[in-house]
Amino acid sequence: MIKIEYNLTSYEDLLRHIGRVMQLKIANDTIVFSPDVGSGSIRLMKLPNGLQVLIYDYCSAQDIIFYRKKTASELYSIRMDDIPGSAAAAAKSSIFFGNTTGEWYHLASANVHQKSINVMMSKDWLQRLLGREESGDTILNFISLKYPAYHYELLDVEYRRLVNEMTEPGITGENSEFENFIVQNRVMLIIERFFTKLCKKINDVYVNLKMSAEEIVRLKLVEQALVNDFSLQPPNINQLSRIAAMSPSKLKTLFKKMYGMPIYQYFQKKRMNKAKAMLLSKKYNLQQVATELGYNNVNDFSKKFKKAFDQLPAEI
Amino acid sequence: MLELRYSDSVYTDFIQACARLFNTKAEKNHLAIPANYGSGYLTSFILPEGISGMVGDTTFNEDIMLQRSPSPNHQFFILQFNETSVAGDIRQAPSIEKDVRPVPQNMVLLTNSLVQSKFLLPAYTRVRTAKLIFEKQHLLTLLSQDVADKFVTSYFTQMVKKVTTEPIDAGYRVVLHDILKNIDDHPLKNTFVQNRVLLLLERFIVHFMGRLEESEKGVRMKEDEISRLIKVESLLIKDFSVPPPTINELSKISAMSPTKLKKDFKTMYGLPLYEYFQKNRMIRAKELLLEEKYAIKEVGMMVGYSNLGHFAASFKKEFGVLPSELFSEGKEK
Repeated sequence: MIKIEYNLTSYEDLLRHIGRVMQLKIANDTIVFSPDVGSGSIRLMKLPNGLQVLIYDYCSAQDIIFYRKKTASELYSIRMDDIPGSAAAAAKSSIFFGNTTGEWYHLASANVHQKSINVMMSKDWLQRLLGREESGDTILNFISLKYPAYHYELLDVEYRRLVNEMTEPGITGENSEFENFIVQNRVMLIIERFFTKLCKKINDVYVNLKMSAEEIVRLKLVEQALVNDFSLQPPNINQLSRIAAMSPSKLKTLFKKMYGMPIYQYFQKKRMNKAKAMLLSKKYNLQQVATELGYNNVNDFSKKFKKAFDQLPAEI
Repeated sequence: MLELRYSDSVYTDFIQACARLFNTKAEKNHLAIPANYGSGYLTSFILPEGISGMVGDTTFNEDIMLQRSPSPNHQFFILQFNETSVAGDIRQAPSIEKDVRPVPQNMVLLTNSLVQSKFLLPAYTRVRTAKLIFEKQHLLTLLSQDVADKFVTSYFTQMVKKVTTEPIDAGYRVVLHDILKNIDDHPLKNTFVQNRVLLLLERFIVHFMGRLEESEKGVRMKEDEISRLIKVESLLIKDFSVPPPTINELSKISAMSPTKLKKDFKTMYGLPLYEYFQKNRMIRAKELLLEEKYAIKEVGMMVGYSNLGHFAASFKKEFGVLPSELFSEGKEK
């Protein structure tokens, strides 16, 4: 059994790390499995639009455990596993979306053909993409609310077609003149399809909430008022209830339905996320962050931060 | 006849020029054609790479002369995918000057800003279009230096020889229709349009370079033969609910021998005649199914199958899944 433990910073680093652990050489951004450890390859592509793609297509003689540790830097990835072979295995083929703020394990069993395409994007990249879209905020909100949960979908015919077009011999490979262009287009189509479906799902959730469109709009206003400025006291339930034009008890119930948690828990979560983002930017000191987020007392802030992230702000 | 002179290198400006021509106001990136001039719309956008693009679906009540003045100091390429169809009665093309071409029907058109181009957009013709303006530097972000160089130099030699011949075939049509059909209510509209426009560009470049190799081998066709083949193609996929024309009929229409027709069709569209017909028929069936308005049996009949089993089998042959599996597989639980 081989154990590959890593912090994800970039796929380049990851590839080098895999090469080191497995004692395999990297040439042209590719690890080729030598006959004593298995067959196939792991290949890195750097696309013109700034995305990195890792293409796994190998069969290992030993079990490999991949263990990705939690990291503070928020990187997102879309992973498509397409396990060839039996129909039962094909049914397991799936597409995942997740980020690096949670840890993750994956066992690649010995002598099973592993075929997987991973696409990595930075938080900035994702925000740029979705920032241009009307539904972008809805999707970004959903992602940050549900984080660090993974979104999971089965690989349907259309996804599989795109994956096949990307990995077809003659397209990927050193002798293809258009490889980057073709792969980039397919990767973008996959990303688009994933977020389009996610968006539909989010809207369906709203439909399932049995709320009127008007109520949803008003709840969004409440949400904005709540997270608008953390340096001030948050509005109280009565004020929010006036904004929402609904009774406090109705507001509480609907808010929880739509955003998945009670109003002030949501407020606190957003507040701490902002704190983390500010600290990570390294532009502010602890005192500034605490003040910006409405804490007069740094100790108090540190305690709340520890409660949320299991580490002290000073440790970031 | 209306006349539009322009030399814009971004379509946002072109849209404003059109708005002035029609005495109306355009939004920043969008122009609805006023009812007294016709119907439809034009929408422009800029891709992250800096490529300017425009898509539209228009029908005008008047002939429009489009005249691009040359920009000698700024070289860029204009790539257009135009699918034209005439609504209602077919009318005589107006008599026009010698150097003016009607907008080529169902051809991909690549021109460049160094030379003037003049095109006539005939009245009552529906034009579904996707256009791109790009510079060589844009290609360099997508292609390697070698390929980009080869593309640009061979484009100019080909232009002199007038041998650029890329028809709007099934592959382009599917993408073009997809854009125009879903542009309004797609939740990721910008990404959606851009991805497809880049797909059109990719396909064009891959084909262009492929043809280059062929023409080096000496495969070449005459201009009038090409237009006859385009006619054959449009007849072939016009209506799937009736049996397709026979080779003999097509051969008469194209004024070519059956052997020559078969051979040239394959060169131009990449597939033998009836395989091409069948592929398009299945693409149409898939489009209809995805509309979720018709039962599978209905769709089968709309594309000319009276036997549901045959239809399902043919569909599976083309797409790898049965019509009934088209939806079930993507659904969760």
